[in-house]
Amino acid sequence: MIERRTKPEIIKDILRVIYEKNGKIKPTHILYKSNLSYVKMKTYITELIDKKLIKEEQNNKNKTYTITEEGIKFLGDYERITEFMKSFGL
Amino acid sequence: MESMIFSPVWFFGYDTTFNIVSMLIALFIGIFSLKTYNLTKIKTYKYLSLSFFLISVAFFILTSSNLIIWKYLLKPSIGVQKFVLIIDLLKASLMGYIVLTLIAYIIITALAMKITDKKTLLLIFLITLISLIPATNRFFSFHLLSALILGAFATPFFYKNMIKYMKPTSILVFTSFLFLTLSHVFLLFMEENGMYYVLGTALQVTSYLMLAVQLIMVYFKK
Repeated sequence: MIERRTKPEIIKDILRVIYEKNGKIKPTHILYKSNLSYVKMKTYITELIDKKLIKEEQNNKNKTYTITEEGIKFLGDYERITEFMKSFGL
Repeated sequence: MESMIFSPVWFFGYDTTFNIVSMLIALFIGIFSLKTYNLTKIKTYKYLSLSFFLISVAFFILTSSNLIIWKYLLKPSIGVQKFVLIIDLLKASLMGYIVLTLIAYIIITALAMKITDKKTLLLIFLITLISLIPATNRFFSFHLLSALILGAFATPFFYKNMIKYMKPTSILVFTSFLFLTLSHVFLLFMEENGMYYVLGTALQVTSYLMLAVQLIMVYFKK
């Protein structure tokens, strides 16, 4: 059975996708790599921009998303916390 | 009358230091669990943080009691009235330590056993705490209950988790709870011989030091 991802897990996955693409990515790549519907992805992207974890950039007609320092910090914190959760297994 | 001093004279001061170390480690684990809850919103970690905060407060109470014994009760010049007052204060604070620690252990065990029903949890709290009332030796009952709760329920869960992940941090958590269980087993016999108190206290601080190492490993993970 496939486990449903929690909201922080989805946020982590989106940030990781951007981070692994050298910190900058097109929305289509996020859609493809994060395994979300377009509507859901848009909702998450808006939330991540509001939380200053990513920022939107418009070059000519292309829209790209860049991970911020806050976003990189979130990724680090999330990985530590995942390790902490695994060590207790609760 | 129940005895309140179990430490051999040479060990006095070391036990207080050990308790302060354990108190600080429990506090840091509580803070990290709360951080985990804030980021993930998984309630389990809110309750885990609560249990470690309770342990930290319990150690603070125990440390204060030890300092009171050190400062007043070991002096021959203390008056009778003051002696009685301090004994009452000590009894209350040691009961506080026992109750808070047991509540914390029950919370950890309930989390491990996935007990979410509040009425079931309340029943466990009541049975455990009420069983202390008729006890002639509350410390013995406390260490027996702690050894049973941790040894029969929490530690086997952390063993399974260790087998599941086989990571150094999960090994440390399991070993820590195993040592904590053993510390309560040794402390059961502390009135028979002061060396059991020394061994129990040393094992207890070792178990918290293992949790500190686990936290450091998690924190500096790259």
